Amino acid sequence: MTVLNKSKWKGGTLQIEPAKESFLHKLAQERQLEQQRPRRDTDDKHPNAPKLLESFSKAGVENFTMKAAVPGTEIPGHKDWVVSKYGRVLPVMQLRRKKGTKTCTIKYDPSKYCHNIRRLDPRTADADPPTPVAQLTWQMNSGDDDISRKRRGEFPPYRPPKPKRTHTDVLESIRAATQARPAQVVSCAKLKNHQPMNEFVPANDKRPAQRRERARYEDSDSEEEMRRLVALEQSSHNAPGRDVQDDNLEVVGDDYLVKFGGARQKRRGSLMNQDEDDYDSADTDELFTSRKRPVPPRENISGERTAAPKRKLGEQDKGTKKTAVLSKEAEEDSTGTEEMATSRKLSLPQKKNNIPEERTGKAKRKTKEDNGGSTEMMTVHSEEDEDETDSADSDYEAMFANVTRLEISLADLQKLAQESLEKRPPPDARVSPARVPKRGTLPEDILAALLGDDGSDDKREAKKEKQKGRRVARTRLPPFRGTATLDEDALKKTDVPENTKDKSDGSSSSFDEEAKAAAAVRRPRLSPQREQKQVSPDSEELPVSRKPSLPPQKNISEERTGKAKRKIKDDDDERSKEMSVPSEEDEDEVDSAESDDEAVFPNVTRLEISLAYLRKMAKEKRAPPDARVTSARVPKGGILPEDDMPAFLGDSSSEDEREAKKEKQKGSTVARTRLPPFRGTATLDEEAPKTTGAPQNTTGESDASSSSSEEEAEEAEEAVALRRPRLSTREEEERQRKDNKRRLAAVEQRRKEAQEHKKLIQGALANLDAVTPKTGKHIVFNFDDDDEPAAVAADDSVPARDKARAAASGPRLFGSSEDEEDGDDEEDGGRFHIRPQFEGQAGQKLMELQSRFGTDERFRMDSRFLEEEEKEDDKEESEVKTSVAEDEDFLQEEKRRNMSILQGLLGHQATSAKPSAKTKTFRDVSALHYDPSREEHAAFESKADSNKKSKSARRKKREEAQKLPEVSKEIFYDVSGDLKAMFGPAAVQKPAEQPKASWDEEEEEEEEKDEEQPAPEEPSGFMFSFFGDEIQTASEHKEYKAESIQAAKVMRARGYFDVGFSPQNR
Amino acid sequence: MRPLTEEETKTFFEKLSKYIGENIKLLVDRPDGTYCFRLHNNRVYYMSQNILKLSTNISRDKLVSVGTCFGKFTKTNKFRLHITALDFLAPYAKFKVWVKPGAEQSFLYGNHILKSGLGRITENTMQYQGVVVYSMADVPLGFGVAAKTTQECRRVDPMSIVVFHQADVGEFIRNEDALT
Repeated sequence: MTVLNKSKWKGGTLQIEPAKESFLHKLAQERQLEQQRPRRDTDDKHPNAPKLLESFSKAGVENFTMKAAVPGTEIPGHKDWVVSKYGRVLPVMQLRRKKGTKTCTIKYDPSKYCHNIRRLDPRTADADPPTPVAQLTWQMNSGDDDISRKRRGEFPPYRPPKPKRTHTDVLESIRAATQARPAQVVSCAKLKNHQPMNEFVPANDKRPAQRRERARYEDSDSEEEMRRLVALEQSSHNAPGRDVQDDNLEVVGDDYLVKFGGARQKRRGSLMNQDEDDYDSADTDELFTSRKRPVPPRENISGERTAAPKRKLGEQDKGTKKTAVLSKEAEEDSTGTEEMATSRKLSLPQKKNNIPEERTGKAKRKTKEDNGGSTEMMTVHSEEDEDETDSADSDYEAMFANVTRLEISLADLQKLAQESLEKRPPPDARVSPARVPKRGTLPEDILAALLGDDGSDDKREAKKEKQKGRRVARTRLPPFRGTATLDEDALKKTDVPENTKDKSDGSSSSFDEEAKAAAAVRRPRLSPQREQKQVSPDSEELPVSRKPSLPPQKNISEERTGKAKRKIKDDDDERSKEMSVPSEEDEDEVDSAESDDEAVFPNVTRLEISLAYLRKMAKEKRAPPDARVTSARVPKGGILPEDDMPAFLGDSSSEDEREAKKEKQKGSTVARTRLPPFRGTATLDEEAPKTTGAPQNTTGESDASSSSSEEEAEEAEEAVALRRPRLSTREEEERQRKDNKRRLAAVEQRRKEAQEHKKLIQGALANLDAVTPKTGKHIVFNFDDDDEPAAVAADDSVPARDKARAAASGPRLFGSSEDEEDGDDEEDGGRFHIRPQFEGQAGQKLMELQSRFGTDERFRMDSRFLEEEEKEDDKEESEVKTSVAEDEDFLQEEKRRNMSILQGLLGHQATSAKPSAKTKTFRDVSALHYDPSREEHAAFESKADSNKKSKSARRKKREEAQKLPEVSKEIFYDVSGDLKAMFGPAAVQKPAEQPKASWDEEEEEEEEKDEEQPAPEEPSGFMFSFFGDEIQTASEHKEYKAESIQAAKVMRARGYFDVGFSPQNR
Repeated sequence: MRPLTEEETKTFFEKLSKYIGENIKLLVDRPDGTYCFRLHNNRVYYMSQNILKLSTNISRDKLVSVGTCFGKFTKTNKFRLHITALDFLAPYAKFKVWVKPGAEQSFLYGNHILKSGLGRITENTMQYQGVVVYSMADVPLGFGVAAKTTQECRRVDPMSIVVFHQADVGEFIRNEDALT
């Protein structure tokens, strides 16, 4: 090459050197290299990592951690690897960093820094196996509901929609038609964001129809709007044929009745419409309340059942006493009313079962129930004498601020009772056997049983009597019940029969026994434990006097448990009476002594206070609400008698013995023991339903006493307020006593005042009574005098009477009723005279004229004024009439025109309105009366026998008719046997016979005709209808009537024929 | 005040018949007296003969309203029903639509009725048929025009309009000044 280089050839020098490699060739080579390299690289890489690891392991590093190495130590054999903190082996890094314009590298030594490596929880790492790359796209496990499933693209198999209940059968058919949709059309109900994939597109078949519709629908300005709207709408969801199932769309027929009740019923029926629940308009609220009303009590009851133990806790919480009371009130609502209801409605056995069940045998509930029982009683009486309570409402409220109160109307109660009746029986049956033994132990139960007895005997009567206040015992009950504690309730029972029994005896004896009963009431209130406590604080007399009464009480209760019969009870009562005798004597002593002797007083007061103390103690033991009641009652014990007493005193109808008692009771604090009897007497005239009863007691009394009693009631309240805080100390006792005395004095004074006042009023009234008849007579005399001349002038009698009346009415304010009546009668008679001049149109005008003048005598309008006016009136009238007629005509024409237009508009439909109007007119059937005198009412007459002739009879008749040979003339001629006639002209004989036979023959023929072709009009004749064509039926009926008579004749005639002609036939 | 001309009567009746059909004749030919339609201030009033007579005592320019206003004629001589006519349309309506309680308010604010608000509908309702709208408690709320037939109403999706709003009782408040 070098030889040949620079050689000359043909005048030029050759430059010869190796040629450059071809680009393509180079490229190919490079590619080949490139292909080879990665393989090699990968080959290299894989051994690399193990190499490093190997070298690390050689250096004592395991898994990039070097144990027991100080941070910062370099790994031997590895340049940039250091041990960082926590023993990890990490590389030292050179980081390039730009600082402004110049760049610098930073050496990052991990051993110098605290790293932020967070170790993942190995456990989770173990639990979750590494997901392969293919599955890295995550997936949310959405709910398994319809929509999400559909989003995922899983569609449920097509199920035809359930047929809804519809009104009309037509609807069914339509629905069926709609259900016949293609099955592949998958419904995606409620899917608002439709996936285009899922859409079924039958678009085209719909469009033309719409277009056609539009073309047809050419109308007003709103039409344009509509079109726009249609266009808009279609563009918005133009993907048509969206096959959304009609979820709760309802389709009704044309004859759907727009009716409120109907709607409600429908709604009730259709559970599908669930968004009705959030209906918010007013009337539906009503609807809802009406719909849901039955539910709450049920819930209440059940809640009560379940929450029984809880309640106990709540009761014991003294801090929340009031709220507890309130809540309890709500709960008691149900129990109380139920009890009430049962006691009223159920027969005795059921009642017994019920009430124990109510109690559910839980001892915990006892106290609460007690309270409930009292409220229940209250309600009974509050209902009974609501009217009476009105006067003393405010007082009552004040007294009862902390007592549970129940307000239930009778209707509600009844409803509840019915509900409970419906609900109860099964559980009762279950529960009662278990409960029975327990019944006796609970006082309320005894009470209930007693009540039941009462009810079985004469519930209603007793109540009535109670209301009237005739029975002392009964009347005494309500106050008892209200304030009564458990024990009292139990004892009250003893009172009831006793008193009823006593009633038969003289009132005096009853009084004594009442006192006894009252004593008995007091005593048993001390349960043994209480008694023990009671011994320590106060006088020792009390326990002594009380002890005897306790055991019998127990006896009573025990006996009660066994038998609920009245007799036994009575026995018990007697026994209790006997037992209580000693105590009574005690009290009698007190009574007699205290009127004079003040020395006895402390005793008595002490007794009372000790009672109060006892109650206090009891309070601590009892559940709060009950305690509440008792505490409220404590002061009342002292107060009430005084309240009652004046009322009693005010009672004018009180008997002598009572007055005697009253004298005894004056200024005595022992009234406490007398409380029940007092109540009884006080409520003789009207019952005091509320427990305190004090204000109510007096309401029925005379006016004067009522006012005073109210004041006293106020006083009593004050006393209540005053006394409550200081009960237990002795000083307070003293003070109380003093207060008592003072108050009693005041009461006495007030009573006197009241009596005076009453007297005053009575005197005034008596005067009034005395005066009035006199004046009345006087007036009558005058009146008669005036009247006689007035009567003479017949025409002018009215004004004269007016005058007389005016004169009479001037001075006398209260004329005697007789006179007034007489006068009024005459007056009225005159007032309603028909005055002929005021009759008619003209008369009306005259009347107006007259009324303008008033009753002035000088301008009386009589018939003379009538005549001239009448002519004028006639003219005017005629004018008016013509104008009216014109108007009418005009309007009629307009109407006609309108109708014609309408007809043109609607086509054949709008025929004359008349027939439709006729069909629309409502005819009141109830207002229709059968008037036999009216011709067309014959249609209402029932066709007795003629039409009702049985088929068999008819058939018979027909058979007869067929059987019977025609009464042929031949036979007849045979019978006549007149040969002459045979040869003579038959026509002569025929006409003679013809008339006789003609009517029945014709009849028969007619009948046969009828039978042969069952007359189409016959059924219409049978129908009894006030509607439709009466006249037609009437005419038909006449025909039938005639027929009936004739038919009867025919029968007879036939019989005659049979008899007459049969021999000849044979 | 004057009676309607033939043309006007026709337009008016056509409109009315969309809602109550042939029941118009019950309005025209009433058994309890003579009733008539009168045009006053481009509005059609429906009144009894007695009121008509009484109204003659009032000069035309002073008379604001007499009887019941059924609607008005627009400048283009089309008739537009007012909500005041509802009292007479509701009892005679042939086709009805009940709206659900939730949709009631929406309708009373002047909106169309969507499928979701449709509680009940008379069967065989044609498209563009005039319908009277009721609440589920059967209180007439107004009237409108069916945008879909009953059959279509079953299938359309919940947000589609089924009844076009025409008038509702909310207008008594909203259009207080315009209503007579």
